Amino acid sequence: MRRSFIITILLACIACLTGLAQNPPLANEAAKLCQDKQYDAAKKKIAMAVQSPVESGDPFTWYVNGFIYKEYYKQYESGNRNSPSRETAVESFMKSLSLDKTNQHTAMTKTGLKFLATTYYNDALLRTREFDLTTEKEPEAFYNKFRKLMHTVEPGSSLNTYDKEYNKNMGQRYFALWQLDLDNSDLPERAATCYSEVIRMDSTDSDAFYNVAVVYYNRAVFKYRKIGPETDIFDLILIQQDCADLIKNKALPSMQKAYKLAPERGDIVRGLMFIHRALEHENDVEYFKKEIERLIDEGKIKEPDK
Amino acid sequence: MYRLFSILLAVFLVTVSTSWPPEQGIPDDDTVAMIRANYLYQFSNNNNWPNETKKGKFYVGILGSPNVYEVMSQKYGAKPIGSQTLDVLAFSELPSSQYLHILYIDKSRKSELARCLKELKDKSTLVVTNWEGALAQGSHINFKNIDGSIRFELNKQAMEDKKITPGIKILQWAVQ
Repeated sequence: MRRSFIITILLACIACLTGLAQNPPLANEAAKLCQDKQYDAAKKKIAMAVQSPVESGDPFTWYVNGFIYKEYYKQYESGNRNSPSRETAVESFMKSLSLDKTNQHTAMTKTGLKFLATTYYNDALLRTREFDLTTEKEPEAFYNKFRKLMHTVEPGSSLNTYDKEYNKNMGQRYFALWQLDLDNSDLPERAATCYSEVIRMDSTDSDAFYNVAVVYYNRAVFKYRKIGPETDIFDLILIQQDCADLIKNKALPSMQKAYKLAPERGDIVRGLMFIHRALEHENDVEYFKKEIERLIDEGKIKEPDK
Repeated sequence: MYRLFSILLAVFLVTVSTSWPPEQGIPDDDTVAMIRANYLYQFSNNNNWPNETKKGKFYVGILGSPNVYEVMSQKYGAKPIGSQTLDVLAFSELPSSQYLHILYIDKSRKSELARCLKELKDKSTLVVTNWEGALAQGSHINFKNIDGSIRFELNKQAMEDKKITPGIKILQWAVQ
C-alpha cells in the first residue's frame, strides 16, 4: 500500500499588539484573560465587549471574540465536529474582516480562519471514511465550509489538491459501501462519479483511472457471479451484453489510460490482463502475463498471493 | 492603555493523512469460464438425448479447462437434468470406458479433437469446443466471441446424427 503524507505545515504567528490606546478596553481585557488561558472569564468579558455599543463596531473586538472561541474549541471541543464554539469563531472572524477597512487585523484574522478551515477539512476527510447513506451529505457540508473559508483567506488560490483528495476519499467510501450492498447499483456509479471528478481535475492521475476501471469491471464480475442454474439462456445473453459494455467500453479505456500513465504498476497490469481475459483477447492476455513476469523478475512488483 | 497580546497560531494545514492508496482491487474470477459453464448447463438441460442414456448420472466431461471444471462442478454439480443428476468430470485424457453426455474440449487441447471424435464415433456425446473452425472439424457446438459476448454456433445435422435433438432454445439462440 502506497502511502504519502502531506507534511503538516506549521505557521507560528506571533503578533504583538502593543495595545494601542484606541483598542477597545473590554476586548483588550478579554484578550489578556485568553492569553492566561482563563477561557470562561475571557468569554464573559468579550461578551460584554460585543454587547457594548462602543466596542461592537470595532474589528478588534470581533477578532478577539473569534480568537477566544477558537482557543476554546481547541481546548474543549476539538473532537466535536458540530462544535458551536468553532461556528462562533468563524462568524466572529468573518465579522472582523468585514469591519476591518484599514486591514489592521486582517492578517491575524485570516490566520485564525485558516486554522479553522483546516479543521473543517479534517472533519470532512474523517467523515468520508465512515459515512453511510443516511449521513452521506455530512462530508460535503464540512468540505464546503473549508472551501468557503479558504476562498476568503486565500482568494484565487487553487484547491485542486484538496478537491482531489476529498473526491478520492468519497469514491473510496462509496466503493466500500457498495461491497456491503452489491445489489445497490447507485453506489458504484457514485464512486465512479467521484473518481471521474478527480480525472477532470487531473488527467494524469493513474489511481483515479484505475479505480474507474475497477468499479466498472467489478460491476460486471458481480453480475456474472449471479449467473447460476436458474439463469435462462436469454438472460445469460442479456447479462453478457450488459457486462460486455461495462468491460469493453468503460473499464478497458480507463485501465488503458492508467497503464499509459503508470506502465509498471502491478495492479494496473494485472487489471488489464483480467479485462482482456474477460474479452477473450488472447494476445493481449499473453502480453500482459509476460509483463507481469518481467516486473516480478525485475523486482518491481511482488508475486501475487496464491 | 497599551497592552501586549501575543498570539501563537499553529496552523495545521492537513492533519488527517492525505495519502490515498488505491485499495480497490480486481477480483480474479474467470468470467469466461463462468459463462461457458452456464452454457454447458443450458446445453444439458435444453437438448434431448436418446432414452438409453437417460439412466444413472448425466455426465459432462471437461478436457483442458480447469476453470470451467471448477465453476461447473461448484455451481451446477448434482443439479437435476431431467430425471438424472449432473456430474462433472475433469480429464487430462479422454477415457474410453466413461460414457459422457457432453464433452467440452478447450482450445488448449484442440489437437485432440480428431482422436476424441474417433473414440466417440458410436456414442451420443455432444462435443463442445471454443475455437474458430471447430464445427468444420467435427464439433457439434462451438463457442464464439461476438463483441465481448460469448455466443455459440452449432451443427444441427451433426447433433442429430448422434441422436441428440437440439432444443428449441438452443436452436433459437445459436448464431449462424
